[in-house]
Amino acid sequence: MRALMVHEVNGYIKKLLTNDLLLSYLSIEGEISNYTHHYSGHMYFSLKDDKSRIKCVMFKGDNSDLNFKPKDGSKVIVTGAVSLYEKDGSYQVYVKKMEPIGKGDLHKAFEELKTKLEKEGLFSQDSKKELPLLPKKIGVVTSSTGAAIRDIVSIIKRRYPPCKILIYPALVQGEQAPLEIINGLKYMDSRDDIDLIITGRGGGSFEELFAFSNEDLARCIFSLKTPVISAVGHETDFAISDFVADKRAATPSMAAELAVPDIRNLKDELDSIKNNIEKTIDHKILEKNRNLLSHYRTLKYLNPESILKDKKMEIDNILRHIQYNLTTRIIRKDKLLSEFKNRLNLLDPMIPLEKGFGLLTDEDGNIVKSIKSLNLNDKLNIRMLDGKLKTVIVEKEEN
Amino acid sequence: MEIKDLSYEQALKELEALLSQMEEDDLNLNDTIDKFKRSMELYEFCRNILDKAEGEVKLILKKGDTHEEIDFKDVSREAIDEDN
Repeated sequence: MRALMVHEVNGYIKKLLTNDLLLSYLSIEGEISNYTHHYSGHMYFSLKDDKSRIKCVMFKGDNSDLNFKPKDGSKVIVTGAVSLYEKDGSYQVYVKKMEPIGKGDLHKAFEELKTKLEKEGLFSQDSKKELPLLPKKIGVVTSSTGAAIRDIVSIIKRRYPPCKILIYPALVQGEQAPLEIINGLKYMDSRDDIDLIITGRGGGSFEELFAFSNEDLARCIFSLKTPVISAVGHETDFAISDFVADKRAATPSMAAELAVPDIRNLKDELDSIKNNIEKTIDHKILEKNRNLLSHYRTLKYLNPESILKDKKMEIDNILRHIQYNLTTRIIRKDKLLSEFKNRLNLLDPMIPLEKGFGLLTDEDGNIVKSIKSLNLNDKLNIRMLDGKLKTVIVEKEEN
Repeated sequence: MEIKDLSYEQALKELEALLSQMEEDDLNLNDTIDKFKRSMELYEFCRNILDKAEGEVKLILKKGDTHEEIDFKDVSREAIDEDN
């Protein structure tokens, strides 16, 4: 008989385990011990009961959506396959699913209640009330000492400072919790000044959050007149109150953001409307003004007074023209007349006498223009400016 | 409706409606002026709401059947966060 190599033996055992119908898919109940969450993301631990223990590994890809944190001492049910780690020759459970014990029952109760209330119409969109845009006073029903109330108050105050907040302290886990929350919700709803209610709590295990999956609480939320925001745990957590409330917020912080708008946005929105209105009005007035001006011009153009004025001006022009014409004509005549007079003056026989000339006439009074008809000893008359002379020709010489 | 009886939402809605009416061309001047006046009043009204003083934060103390309100002084700030 040939001696087998170690890896051959381990390989053979692994084959036996993998082919076994029971071992290839089974659930095991036990308590976690030696738990380590390796930096690679894989989880290594042992499951034990009072008699025995078995090694387990849960790879990163399988544990990434676990909704609880396993720790030593946690009682859990794991589901997966038993196989061999050949390198060590040790067998272990390759865990695909892990649930804390008890959670299975709660999950079942949760699903049953959810189905029941859904059928009754408690989750219907039609019955959801609208949240006020700008709540004056918000009622918060939650623990007065958790991170939840701190987040809610600080975010509401940051986003919308004028908002008033009234806190009804209530237990948010344990058996008493649903009743205290119900009392708080009813009290808030009975007041006239509360226009929005937030109820919820910070993150926790499924059991811890289960107070918000209580049937009486769900029915109470449905019956309220005031809108309710439910904010339970983290984004991945769901409670029945989330389905029945008018709005579900993933976290208490988100509830505060849903509850009030950011005042800066409101102011911007308001101012932008105002600016638009002013712009529109400016534009309108400008347009009306332009129309008015154009009507005014037309009217002015058609005004009879201005037509008369134009006509009058025309007449004035004509008159002025006539006047001008007449005047120039008179001046011209005047000039002509004086010219004529000058010419006439030139013809006056007396004028040369003024310069020292004398006018010669014969004894009969005829003007003598030539010496030809004159003879020696003829008598002549000389007329001068200031008198008459009688003279005798003593000599004659022709030119 | 009297502006003082409006909620912020109603006032804002009316303001937006007035804006779109004023943007229409065939509105006469008197109407426009009236609407403008009203819109400025609505604006002031909304703005006053936003500029209101900081609202108080109160915590209810249950004493038997009565509910007393005391100032909430963020008692949780130093308390251990039980939720996380």
